Amino acid sequence: MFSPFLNSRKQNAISLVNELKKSFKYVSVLGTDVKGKYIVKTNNMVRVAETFSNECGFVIKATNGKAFFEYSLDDISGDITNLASKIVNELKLSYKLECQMIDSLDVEEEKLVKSFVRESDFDKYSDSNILKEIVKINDVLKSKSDKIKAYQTSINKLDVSKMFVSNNKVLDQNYTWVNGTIVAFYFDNGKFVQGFEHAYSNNIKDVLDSLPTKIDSLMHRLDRLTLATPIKPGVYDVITDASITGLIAHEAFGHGVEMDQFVKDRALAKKYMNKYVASKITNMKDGAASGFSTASYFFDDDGVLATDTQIIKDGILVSGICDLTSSRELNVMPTSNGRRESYKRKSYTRMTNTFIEAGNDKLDDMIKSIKHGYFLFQTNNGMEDPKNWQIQCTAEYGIEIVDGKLTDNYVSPVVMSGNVLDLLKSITMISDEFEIEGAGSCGKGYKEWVRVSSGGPNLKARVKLS
Amino acid sequence: MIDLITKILKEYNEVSAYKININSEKSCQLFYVHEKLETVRKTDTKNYSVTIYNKHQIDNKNYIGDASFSIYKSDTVDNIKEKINLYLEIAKSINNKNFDINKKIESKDSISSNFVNYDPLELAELISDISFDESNKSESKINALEIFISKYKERIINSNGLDREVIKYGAMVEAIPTYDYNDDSVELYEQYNFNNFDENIFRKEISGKLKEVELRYNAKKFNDNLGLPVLLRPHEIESLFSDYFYDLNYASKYSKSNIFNIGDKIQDSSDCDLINLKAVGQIKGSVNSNIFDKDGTTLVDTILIENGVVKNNFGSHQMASYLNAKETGNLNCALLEPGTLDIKELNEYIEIVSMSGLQTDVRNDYIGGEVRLAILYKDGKEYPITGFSISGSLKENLNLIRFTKEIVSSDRYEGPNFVMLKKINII
Repeated sequence: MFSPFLNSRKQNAISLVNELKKSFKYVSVLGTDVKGKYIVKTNNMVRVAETFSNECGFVIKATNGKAFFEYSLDDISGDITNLASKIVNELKLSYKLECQMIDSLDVEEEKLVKSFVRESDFDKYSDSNILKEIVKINDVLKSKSDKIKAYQTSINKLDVSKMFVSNNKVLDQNYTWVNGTIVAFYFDNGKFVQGFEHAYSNNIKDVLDSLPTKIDSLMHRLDRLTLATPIKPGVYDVITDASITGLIAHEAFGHGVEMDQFVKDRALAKKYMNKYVASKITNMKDGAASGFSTASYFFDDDGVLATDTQIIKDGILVSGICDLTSSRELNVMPTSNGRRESYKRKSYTRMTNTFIEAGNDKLDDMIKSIKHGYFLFQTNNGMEDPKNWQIQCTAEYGIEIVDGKLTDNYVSPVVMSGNVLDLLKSITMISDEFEIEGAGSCGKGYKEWVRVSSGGPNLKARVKLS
Repeated sequence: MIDLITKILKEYNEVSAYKININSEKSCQLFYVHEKLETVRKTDTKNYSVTIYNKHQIDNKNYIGDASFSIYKSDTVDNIKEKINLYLEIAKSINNKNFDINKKIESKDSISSNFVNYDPLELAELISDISFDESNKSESKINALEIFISKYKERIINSNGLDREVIKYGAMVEAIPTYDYNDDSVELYEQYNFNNFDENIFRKEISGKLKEVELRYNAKKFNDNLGLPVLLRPHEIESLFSDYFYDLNYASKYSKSNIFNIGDKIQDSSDCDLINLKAVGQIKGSVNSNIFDKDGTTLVDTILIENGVVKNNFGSHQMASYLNAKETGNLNCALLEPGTLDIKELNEYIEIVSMSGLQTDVRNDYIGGEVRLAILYKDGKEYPITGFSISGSLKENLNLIRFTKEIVSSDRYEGPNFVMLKKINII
């Protein structure tokens, strides 16, 4: 259900835009009311708290045809004329700063008044109900082995309401997302290891039903991980699971096509538009309307309606992704990728649901095609390098492949590094399976955290591992 | 608003205790692209985070449940009561081990900072002037610059009469030095966090980074595994010990997910400088310095590792209560004692200038990561190198580690300006 609080402030937002239009060419007000809750049961504690995603406030964005101005505040109640006057005064600049301002094109937007809602089952589950289900999952997990020394099951649920009012638009949206996680700490063979499983959906029921089905595979993996050895560094043929495919799409390549980096000449991708950047069987997309996951909103934080953007088509880089501000500097259409960590932070070009599209190969055939290599699993983390296209992505573990067969040899952790183009151009097989993982969050540098998803099919590629 | 919240909370008999964290932030931000001002931002926000506790008995055993939620300036009395009702039900259904929240203590402090001498917008302008002044003197340029100047007020009150407040200042500067030549271009990413502004120090940092990015352009791809010692700088040193920080927190011990216990040896060699690592509340110039944690517990500097052996744990009041352990508060900063290394004693070595991120994994005994820029010191000369990764055994390297004698401070760290690792593979 859309936030009653934001609803109560809609007319104020419209009035505020009208007042501020006397001082700026373009004005928008974004109102956010995001309720995120984290419910976790460990082996000896329960915690229910709000997540870092929680926020409730407003950000005014304006431009005079040159620089952009933003003002973040907790409420827009009271005398709107006075509030507008206060904001204008706060955003006054010295003459010197005014002379430094960029030139930007006018914001062009269609007239649109619309409400968007995605239904969910949040009303059917109280937090106490969720806690009871989590306890049951924990009990099953604990019963599997006395080698489990610590464990936890958590549900992270998000209920997002946002309102956008500008010169031409009045939009509002409400949608939900749930991430569930099981974590176990396991001790055997003199080694303490940690393993996890995720489940995600916009419905709580789906996640609660899915998590218990993943316990057995988690147990098997934990057992093997206690015997895992460091990998012998080298260049290998690899098969990636969906999360590693997603990590490559997101970390290795996706950051490089964020067009606010084009404005800053920070992206090598700018030089590669309409050129080959991957093997010809590779296709990649990003968009709030591209896939269904944690970043599937109806409009971005600049009020641009969700899009489905083809980034790589048959190996050729065909498009970047762009927020509103950068689009006015580059004279391109924004792609609904303007996102803020919260109303307190600036909007940047950010990824949403980023993935490589499914291919035609069978996973079994892909494994059989490898004489010696590794099947890589489970994203750990990655770091972007949009300027120089070097990658660093870490997988939790890999399984050795010898003579076309999976062995019982696990290696952990596994760090992939090298050059992005080399990796993407080395893709020779892409499976016909597909999965998107919705539990991720992404930073720009070491800040500005937003929720993202990534994934895709299995890839066969060649990469440096250490 | 605080008076309203506490008045309402006191109406609920089943709220056995409560705490309220109030965080205010006023911030002034400038965003530059190629020396042009792209965006100007200001923020003025205040958040109330309420935690309510319910003590109850089951089969004559005492338990406590708690739940946290936000209250906003826009919330009405009915909104607040609705939230309390909802979260009280949750707290009543949680059966954690009983403990008492912090006792009454009152304080009002501020973390020392010379930002009080500056208007925030003028300070941001000054920082941008210095950055671009250095940029214009250099062959390298700063392509993008973001400056955040913030004033924070953190306050916590609880139902025992605890009322503590601290005022803090902080700057975050993200600078992207870039070197272009013909059609090629390289960059380095830098983020500076500080609460004391010294023009000379800042100018020196920026000009240093502008020189380093030119080195990256001239750096050659490198993959000779020469077995040379590798030096890490403060940003990576902080990462090196972050796993231990996490593991030695009371929360890890209480949940039985910790690897190390008091008395365990992190090092079992004498061919090294022994690790002496402290968790501390304040580091001079650090934005992360504080006097108390989110429960209002006074931060007490605590030795974590002494001469390579785990000496103490640290953590929150709740966990300390459960473990019957010393009250330290949830400390945020690390202090590492210097060692015996003098760089001049080294003939050949690799100094890592910039990495994508140092990866350490205590469970799998791993250290590694991708190197964006390093300097190879060999045959009396310096060679910038790039395009390689490092990896090795964490334990092996800690048993041979050396620390320099000189001390520096960075974001959450004070300690040697270099550490030397001797068993690193170059890939």
